[in-house]
Amino acid sequence: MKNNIRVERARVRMSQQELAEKAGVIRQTIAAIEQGRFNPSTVLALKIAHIFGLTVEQLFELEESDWNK
Amino acid sequence: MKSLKMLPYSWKVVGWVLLSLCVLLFSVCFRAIAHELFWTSYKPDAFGAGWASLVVELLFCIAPILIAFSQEREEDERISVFRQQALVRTVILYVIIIILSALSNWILSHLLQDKDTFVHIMVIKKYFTSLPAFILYYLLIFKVSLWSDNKKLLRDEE
Repeated sequence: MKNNIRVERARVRMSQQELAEKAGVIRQTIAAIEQGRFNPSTVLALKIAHIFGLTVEQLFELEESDWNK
Repeated sequence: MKSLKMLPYSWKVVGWVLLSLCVLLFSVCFRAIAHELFWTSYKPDAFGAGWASLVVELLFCIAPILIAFSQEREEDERISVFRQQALVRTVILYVIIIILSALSNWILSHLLQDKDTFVHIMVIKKYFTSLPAFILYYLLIFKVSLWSDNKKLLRDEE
């Protein structure tokens, strides 16, 4: 699953630590999501989208490989 | 879905202290514990076999549970995923250990001539195949998985 979290963070000038604190997770979790190593839960995805003032679909995008799992 | 309630992080520190005491006591009183457990003729030394065995057993049961059921210093859903993965891997590892232990019993009973050495090995195996040992394997796999993933994150960030 692809995401634009890094781009959106840069747009609002927010660090990973700041985003993590607002979303109620640790910094490594945000880093893992950005690198595609971890898929957030629905609640966490909604929280992150809410922080940026976006929808989940604007932040996250399914890839072809996700359909084959 | 509500997440499992866990003990505060401070209990993990308590657990590690108790586990260290358990290992220390087991090392010091090993011969006494081994002979008591296998009912061989044994002359009690200054420590006394009874209380040492009981304390080691209690510490060995309580300490891993405290460690495993305490939160990490920082806890979130990614940590929970690692816990689940570690549990599955631990079950697989534990089954392998049980199978190897059963196979080794027959081999060791034929290879070892010295009864004391055989008893000592059986005592060690008893602890390696116990439920607290399962919890310790889980903790080891969990910690290694988390450390490895955090290291990869750091490397990819650079």
